[in-house]
Amino acid sequence: MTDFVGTVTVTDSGGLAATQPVTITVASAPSGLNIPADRKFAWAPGLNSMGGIPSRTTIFITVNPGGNIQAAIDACPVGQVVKLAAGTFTVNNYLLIKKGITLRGTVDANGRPTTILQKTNGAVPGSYQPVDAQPIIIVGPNRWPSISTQSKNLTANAVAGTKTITVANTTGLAAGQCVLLDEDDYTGATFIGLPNRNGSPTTAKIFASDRVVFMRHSPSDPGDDPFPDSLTWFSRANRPLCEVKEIASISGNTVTFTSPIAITYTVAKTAQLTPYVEAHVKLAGVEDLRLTGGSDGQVRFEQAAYSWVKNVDNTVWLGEGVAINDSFRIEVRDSYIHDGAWSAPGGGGYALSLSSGSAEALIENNIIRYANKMMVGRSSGAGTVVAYNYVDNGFINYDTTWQEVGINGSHMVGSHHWLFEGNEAFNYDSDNTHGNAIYMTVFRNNLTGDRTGFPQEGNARAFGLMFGSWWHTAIGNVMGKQGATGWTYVTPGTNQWSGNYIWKLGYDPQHWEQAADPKAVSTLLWGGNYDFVTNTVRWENVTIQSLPDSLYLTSKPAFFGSNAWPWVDPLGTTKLRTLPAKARFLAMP
Amino acid sequence: MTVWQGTGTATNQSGQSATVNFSITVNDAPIIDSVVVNPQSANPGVQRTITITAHDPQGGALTYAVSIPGLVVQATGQPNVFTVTP
Repeated sequence: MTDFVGTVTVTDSGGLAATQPVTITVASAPSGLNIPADRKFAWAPGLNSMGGIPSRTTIFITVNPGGNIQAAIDACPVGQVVKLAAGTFTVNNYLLIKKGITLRGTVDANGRPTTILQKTNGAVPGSYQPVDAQPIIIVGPNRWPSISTQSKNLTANAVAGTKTITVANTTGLAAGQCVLLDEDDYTGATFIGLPNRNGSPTTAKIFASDRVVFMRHSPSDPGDDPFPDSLTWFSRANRPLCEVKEIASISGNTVTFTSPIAITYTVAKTAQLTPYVEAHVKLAGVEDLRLTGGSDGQVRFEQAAYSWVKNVDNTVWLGEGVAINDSFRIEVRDSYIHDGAWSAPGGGGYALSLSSGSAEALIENNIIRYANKMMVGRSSGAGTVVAYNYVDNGFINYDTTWQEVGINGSHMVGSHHWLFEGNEAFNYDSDNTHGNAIYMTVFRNNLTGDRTGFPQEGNARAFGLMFGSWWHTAIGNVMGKQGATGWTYVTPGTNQWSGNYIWKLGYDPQHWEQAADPKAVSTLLWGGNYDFVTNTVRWENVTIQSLPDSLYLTSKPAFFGSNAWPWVDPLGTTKLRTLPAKARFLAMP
Repeated sequence: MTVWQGTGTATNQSGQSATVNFSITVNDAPIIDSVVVNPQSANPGVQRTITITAHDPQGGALTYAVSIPGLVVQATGQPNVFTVTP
């Protein structure tokens, strides 16, 4: 705890002044882990840097079912609330929130939403074909906002942990603006060797830079992405390593951001800073609603910042339950995202998606169940925190035995620097479907290796790393399930992958004949984890150390109430206590 | 505002005197009614808002300033409201 003491001075027109002291108290930062600096980040996700989601009490208007919600949103002054009465509204044309207001429904005595927004010509359970592909809500300047072509070359490397860069010119940049920082990892990439296949060296290679592995093989592979088309799916061309920043100030050619840079971007890879055409929408919120039928995602943040979804029951969508694109410090909390319309690979059934450099999101205290992928990171997510969520039953509708990826920040190449803390999930993994993800921290989670809704588990694991998942950190987790049989502690590193593993390291599900990725294994920092196979705490390659309560919180969050925190305690006698999100789910009627 | 009333008297050698009444007006300093910091205690990186409520006994205009060594205090659109992010 540190106090900054200053002086307030009030002066009248005659020059007489009155003074009074003022004190600002700063809590001690989380003590952090004893790990290398390049794996750390000053986690300040969502609206935490602003003291949390603002509590808005001024109701501009209450709209009843059948009323014109969009007209109310358009007329609502910034900082006020458009309230929706209980009942069902049909929203077949998406609502656009492009200023800092709150769209808030009504809740029952238990806090559950009683306002339903339904799209009646959109997603239908069991179908991937909507009549009309539109989301229900977009927070952003318009449906498809764009990024400028006026990029600024960096004149020196943007160094991880610092807040300042220098650019060739600052034309078009301004304080308060959100911008994209990225580098070109594709142009200089080369084909690198792959591990043994079937126990012998292989001539097959994969395309990679020093940090980014693209899904492109030599010779080409059936699972390869289409190049160059895939290079612009979720990032600027060739630039999947990226992050959205907010400009704090500009002085000459020096730009200072409001938060540190997560990873170093180099001049050698033509690092650039790029503004967006439209300004990001800030401080817009969606609260206390049940949403169903959205068919190009359900809720979309498109170039938004410091905006949120809170206490939303989000079900039967196509695309993403919540999509966060080109955005900064978005918060998704206290929500129930479940039962997507189409639970199959291909992008139709993701509960949460971050893409296109979206950075420093907070995904906290949610229940996420029954979707294809629980979450995906698509060239995005730097500084994002996924914490204290209850995550279960990711599945593929045509092969329910396949245990999908649980909590993760992967799927489309380039994502980096996410923190997963305090979640309960059937696994953590980092998939390589469209390339790799790096620098993920997995701390104090309960990773069971088991989905509660599916008796058969193929590819069961508590913690997986697919090929290219480099520089991961896994500390302080409780893994597996007490009493489970037929489990093995760790994969052997060869091409022997069948079985249930606490640690499944370096595998490629498109090449089971391939041995473990040696770099995924060697750059994994793992220790202080308790598992129900060895029934011990194992410090594999991490210095024995005490574990901080949290890597982003300084004290117990309010939503834990009287429950003990931290609830995952691998070093303690009681390993697991109550996760509020799971308790909330279990209390549902 | 405070007004002091007085009387000045001049007397000559003959004992004749003249008097004059006068007043002295004292400009009272502004009064600070409250200084609210929201949030007062929080994590590093959390923006705080400092709101000053004050009045001038004479009813005149006031100017406001905040100085906290070690921190950069930012003005806002409102003259009596400042922000700071430690």
